[in-house]
Amino acid sequence: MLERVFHIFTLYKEYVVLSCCIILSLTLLTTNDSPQIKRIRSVVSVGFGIVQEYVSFVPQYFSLRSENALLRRKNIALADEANRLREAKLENYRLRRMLEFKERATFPMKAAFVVSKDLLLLRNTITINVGYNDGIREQMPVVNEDGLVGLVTHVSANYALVTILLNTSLRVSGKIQRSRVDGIIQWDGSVLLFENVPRTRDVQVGDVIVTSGYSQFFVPNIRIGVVRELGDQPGSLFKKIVVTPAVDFVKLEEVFVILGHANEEQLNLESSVRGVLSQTRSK
Amino acid sequence: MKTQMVLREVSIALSLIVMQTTIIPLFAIELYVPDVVLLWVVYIALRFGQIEATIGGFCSGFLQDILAGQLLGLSALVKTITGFVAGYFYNENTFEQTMTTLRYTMIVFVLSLLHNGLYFFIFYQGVKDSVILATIETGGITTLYTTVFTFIPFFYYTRKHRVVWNRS
Repeated sequence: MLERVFHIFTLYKEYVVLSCCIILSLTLLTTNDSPQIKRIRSVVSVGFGIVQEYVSFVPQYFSLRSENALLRRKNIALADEANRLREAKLENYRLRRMLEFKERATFPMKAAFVVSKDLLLLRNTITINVGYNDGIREQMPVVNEDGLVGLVTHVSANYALVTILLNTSLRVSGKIQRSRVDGIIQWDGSVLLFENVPRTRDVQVGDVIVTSGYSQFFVPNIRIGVVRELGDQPGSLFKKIVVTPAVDFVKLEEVFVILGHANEEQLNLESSVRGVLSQTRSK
Repeated sequence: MKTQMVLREVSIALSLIVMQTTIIPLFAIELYVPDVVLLWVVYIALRFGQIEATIGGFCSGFLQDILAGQLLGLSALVKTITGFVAGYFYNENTFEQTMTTLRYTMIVFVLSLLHNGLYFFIFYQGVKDSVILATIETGGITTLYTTVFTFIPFFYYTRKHRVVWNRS
């Protein structure tokens, strides 16, 4: 019997092998999700993974160039995005501070962006992107959240030129916030000075200087700067006081124009009195 | 000697399977990838016979299934059948002649048609709306592309046996 089976097997061995292989394949097909199959799969995958690791350099080599180009493009895009995010963060920070400042302020203001600036001349100015059409007029003070920036001196339809503190032609009446000592703030071309303060007056390094309120154009108590150096001028009755401006003009990007502060009545009175005085003197 | 030969063929098969999963996809035209393992199965059938090709087809298909991570057993089944059918082309005396002429290409084409037809017909069940159309399309293109790759063993054997083409 066994011999006969063996004989049949040898006679039809091709078909026997084929049947066995097909049965095995079909069994595998039907038991795709069985844990044993999964186990075999994972073991063989690990083995081949090791081999593939050594061979995988070939496709990597071919794709390296395009991958490199892609990564470079991505790198540029990401750097650009990071830069824009950083810029947005800083802008957000500045605008928040400006917003807080605007909410605190008791006078109407118009926000503006600095579109150009000169900081290396004796008469430095900045140009802002608001003008006559926005209600801006000459002699309006310009500030930011740190303090006084300057005064509007020229206005066009959509732009205005601001004479900043670092300009030899601008003089601002100020006072020491702590001791209420008055003086005049003026740029001498290299440093900002607080002038006309007698040697006997109480001024100390670190004192904050604010606008005095005596000016026709500037509202009182706007921060101008901080006393940095004190000194005596030989043969003079006045102190030499060097001031660090409150505003960092190098970083200046956004400002506020204080609208409609100039007191018309005060201006008229003062000009008329000056007229009478000059007439009296001439007589 | 026989063990050496078996080891050689097994190592060739393993190399081809690794290539099939790493390098060969680089030659893919859209989604159509040539099957170099099939070339090996046909070669085994032509050189050693039906049983060897059937077993070789099953083992190589099984390994391909495991590595490809698709339907386990499908490649094994299809390559088993292909190896078995390829065995009918076995002739001990004409192996060299087959490998050095377009006969090998023709055999591969016919068997690849069978292989891909079966494979994609099963593979697309429940996946495509028109299984037959998808099988004809994918199977046909893959068959043509696989057939193109027969030039590799063809050139290998023509160089090895210094076949001089007689144009006359």
